[in-house]
Amino acid sequence: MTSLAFLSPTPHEAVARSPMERLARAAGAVVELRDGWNAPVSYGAIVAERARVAQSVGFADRSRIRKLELRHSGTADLTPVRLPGTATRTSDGGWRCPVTPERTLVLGGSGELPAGALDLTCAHAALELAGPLAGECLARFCAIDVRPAVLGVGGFRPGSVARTPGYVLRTGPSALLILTGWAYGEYLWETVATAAARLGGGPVGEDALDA
Amino acid sequence: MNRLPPQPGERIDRNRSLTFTFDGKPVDALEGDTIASALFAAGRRTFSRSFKYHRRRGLLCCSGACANCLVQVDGAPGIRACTEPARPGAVVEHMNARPRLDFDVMSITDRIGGPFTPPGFYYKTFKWPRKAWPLYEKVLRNAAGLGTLPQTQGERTWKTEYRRRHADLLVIGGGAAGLAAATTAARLGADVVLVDENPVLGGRLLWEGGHQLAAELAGRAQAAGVELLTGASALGHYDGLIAVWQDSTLHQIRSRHQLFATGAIEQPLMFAGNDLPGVMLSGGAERLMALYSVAPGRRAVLVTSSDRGLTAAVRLRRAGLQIDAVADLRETRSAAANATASSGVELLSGWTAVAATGRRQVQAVTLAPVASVAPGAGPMPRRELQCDLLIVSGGDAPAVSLPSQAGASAAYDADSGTFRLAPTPPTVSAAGQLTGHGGVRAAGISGELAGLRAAAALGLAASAEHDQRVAELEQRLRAELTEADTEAPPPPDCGDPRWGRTFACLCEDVSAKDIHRGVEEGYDSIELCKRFTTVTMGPCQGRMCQLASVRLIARETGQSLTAVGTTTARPPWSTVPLGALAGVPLEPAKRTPMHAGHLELGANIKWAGDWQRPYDYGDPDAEVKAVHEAAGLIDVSTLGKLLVSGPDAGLFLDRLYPNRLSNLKPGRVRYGVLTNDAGRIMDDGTVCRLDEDTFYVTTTSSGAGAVEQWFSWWLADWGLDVELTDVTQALCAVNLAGPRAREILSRVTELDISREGFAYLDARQAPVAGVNALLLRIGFVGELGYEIHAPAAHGEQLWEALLAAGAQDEIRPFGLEPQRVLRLEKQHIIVGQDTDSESNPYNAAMPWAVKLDKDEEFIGKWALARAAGGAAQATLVGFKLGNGQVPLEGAAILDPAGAAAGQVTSARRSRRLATVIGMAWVPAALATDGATVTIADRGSRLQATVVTEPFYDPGGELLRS
Repeated sequence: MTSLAFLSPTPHEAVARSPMERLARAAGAVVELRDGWNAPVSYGAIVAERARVAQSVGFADRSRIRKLELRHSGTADLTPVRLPGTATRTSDGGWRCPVTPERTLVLGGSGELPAGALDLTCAHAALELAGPLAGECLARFCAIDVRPAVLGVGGFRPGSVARTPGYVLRTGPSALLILTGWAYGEYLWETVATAAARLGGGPVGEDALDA
Repeated sequence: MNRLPPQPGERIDRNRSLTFTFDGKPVDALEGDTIASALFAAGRRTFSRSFKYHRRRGLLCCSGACANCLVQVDGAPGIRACTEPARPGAVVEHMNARPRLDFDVMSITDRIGGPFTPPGFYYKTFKWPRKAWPLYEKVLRNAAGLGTLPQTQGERTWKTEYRRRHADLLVIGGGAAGLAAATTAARLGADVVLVDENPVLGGRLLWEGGHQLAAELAGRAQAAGVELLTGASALGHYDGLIAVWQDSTLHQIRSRHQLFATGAIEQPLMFAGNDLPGVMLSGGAERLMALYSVAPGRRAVLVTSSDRGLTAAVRLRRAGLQIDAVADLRETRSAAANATASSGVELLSGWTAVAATGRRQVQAVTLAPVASVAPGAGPMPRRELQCDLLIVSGGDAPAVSLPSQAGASAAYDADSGTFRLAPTPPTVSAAGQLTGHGGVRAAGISGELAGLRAAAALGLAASAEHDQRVAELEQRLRAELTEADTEAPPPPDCGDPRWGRTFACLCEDVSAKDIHRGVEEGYDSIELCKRFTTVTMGPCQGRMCQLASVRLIARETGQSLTAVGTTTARPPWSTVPLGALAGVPLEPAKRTPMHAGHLELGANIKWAGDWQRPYDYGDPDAEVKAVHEAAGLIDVSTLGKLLVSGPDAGLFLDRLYPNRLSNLKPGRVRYGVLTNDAGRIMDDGTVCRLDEDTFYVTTTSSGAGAVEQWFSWWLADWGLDVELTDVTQALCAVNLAGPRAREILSRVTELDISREGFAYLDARQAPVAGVNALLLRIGFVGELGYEIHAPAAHGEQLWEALLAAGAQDEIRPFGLEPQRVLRLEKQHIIVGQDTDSESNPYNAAMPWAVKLDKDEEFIGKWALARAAGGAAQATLVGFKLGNGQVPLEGAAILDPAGAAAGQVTSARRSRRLATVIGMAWVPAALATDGATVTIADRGSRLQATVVTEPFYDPGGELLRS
């Protein structure tokens, strides 16, 4: 075992749970084991969930996506170094998000940990907002400017998210991924659920977004 | 009912009626009515009573600017009836009158109170005898204030939502100018938001015959992509954002450019009896007629100092109002004056009103030549005209407050007799009547011009075509201005005192005489006079009275209006309930991964900093007992956790801590006390070496953020080859403690956890219940213990597995309260509770934590060296109390002379030890085993015995077992 092995979840050895699982289940989530994680795959009516995403805003728990921290002083994996603000795709479907000139957060993706990478999967809870009102929903609790003209796809911003330190990444024309500390997971869910409900939105499962 | 035939552009729907109550009586209204228009149509003329003298007040502005029609609606006080829509079933009540609006006993203050209630009377009266002040205070408080709040409040029926909006351009004001500006900028590609406090866009167009044009302009703006927010009041400028309140949403709008088209506020005139019901601004009369088809009166006289009043007279007559005479303060007739005269109404040029008289409302007005009201003028010719409506127009004061808050300034303009905007900052612009461009054409041109300039400032319009258009519009605007009307600044006070009071401030009942008295007493600047007399401090916030008060002070002091200036503009500009500012509370709550499990176990959850933690599970005594006799499990996920890695990691820690840490071997743990530059304890925790270059540091739960900042700061300063990562939330942690801990743990891990295989202060990594974990052989609660750190995603699994594994041994979860008892038995300090900003490791009885002989300089070394060499004045010790009383934390320790010389920091009853134990700072001379100290606790004197060693297992054998 490496000296930092205890940081990484071992979902194939023990069930891994998102901090939002309790609230997702209370909202009617259908939970399946996927890659060792309890994943909320739907809320019982995928057609309705897709309609919600098409017409207002749906929010999905994405906390189980892998999150790696790369430091440029210690790895050769990050040339060229990009200025903060713009994320790029990785070859395995992840997002490489420069936090500072020396630190990069890689979201998503799979495979072996790159050398020198720190597994911070469990450091951040994540929710994806999707739909035409995704930006409006975010505006209920976050002052980061996410207008498409300002934050295009790949735009990445650190900032205050519901009064906690967090990040916002635009993953699609109408999709925003928000991250905060893992321990804030339930609080983030409650905040987003309240905001989305006032806009006619609600939770959606992974299948509604990923299909 | 005083309803007129259908008016073009009226807002009411004559096919839909509704009913609300006013002071318990039903009032019929039509959909689209405001409360005020419905009440006026039903014959009501007195809408409120004034603040101090309880004088009758009627409708004045009908636009929400003044405070004459404040009512209570469905329990909410301070609602302006003239802008609040009438709703079916609404319960509307008067304010500030007892027992009834039409019969108010407090109006006696108007008859006899004047001499006793001059401005600032409360500084001079009600002071004697001093003992009577509580009675005076009660009476005055009951007499003051507007409206009542319920003593208790049920469930909130509405909560304001905050909405953050970024934009390129924010336009405030939806009249002709604002709409033109917004449309122009949006067509050039700007992201534009336009806000207007009225429910329908168009500003004055709506009641001055331009409602169709208003709809057209609004349609163009919408088609251009402008976001239109109506019924949205701009509250103020707050450090780069404008707060706008709309229904139950508070918009926080941050824009790169702000364009103010806030128009101008029609001013009343000053004459005796100018506060009588029936005295109405021309705009108010026009709104009542045009929007709600309500006749403002039967016989009217109109007095004006500008063309605005004259053009209003023409429209009002056309709509059917009888106007017997028009007095224009200006001697020279303008084109509008000639047109008014031509319409058949008697026009008195150079005349003004000197008194309005009547018992419950206006019944007559006395007019006189302006020249005859000047001080020292000769006999005053006058005319008295019967009327039930006196329409006044004292000119328009540009609404400069909001742009002033945004950084613009306002300067007095002698031509218009008002304060106009001076050049604005680069990100602020203005248009329309605010900049002196009144009239539909001028406002439109001004707006388009401002929109073009704003777009250029945003980098959206750099072309020759743009420049040409700008030049063209500037030329057209100049042409408009040459034909604009002139205004005559009205005399500040032309009231004849024999006819009654002349009010400068209707909200606060401040008369012209009060201003005179204020200046006489030495409050001779606008800011001082405001604070002394309270002029401009009422609900209208100076809309109706700022200009008048400036004119009065200028006259009283002989200064120019430029020199007098205005008061500082501050938010909020519009009335807003506190609930709107409270918003939806966002109270970040951290919860550990085991939170659901705690709830299922019946935990008593409380806030510990920003974490929600189990305080106990219903029986703290049993939880303590379990730890001592079997095993206990506590969730310590809240501990701060930092990874410090790199070739200089050991050096870095040696510089930060007074301990020596660079010599820690991999797989070992050491307790660390963190001290600041002055050698004072700021946090404590453990340091574990994972490998040659990697250390795992834990901190207190509440100190995690501060320690991470401290480490980051010094790392930046020293530039060492170290990386710092906060993994506090990435990892959960539990402490399994008790005599059965080893046996329980052995059921869920293959790791050799024998005493020899896993010794005290060792660290190991191994799977526990299938979860990769870091195990630390440490303890805070005095029994054999293992602290297990694992990825947060597996926290629930780890917790459940350990409880299941220990079920046969009667393991119990335990919370913060039993933990406090257990650690106190060991005299383990809690930083911030047992220590304060003066505590260092020496006087806190931890000298072993400091290694003054280590090679590396460390933070606070010089201070600690001095502390080591000197004698402490007070020392932290333990104590026992035999009598069973648990002293309050904070109770004083007394010196032999009986003076306070220390304090109790912690105290609990220990069932295990069958005594009360605690920790306290005591004078150094008493810090010896067996010494007696006196504790002053809630009137009692308790004799306690000092104990310098841990109360329980002083040798630490159980911990090391």
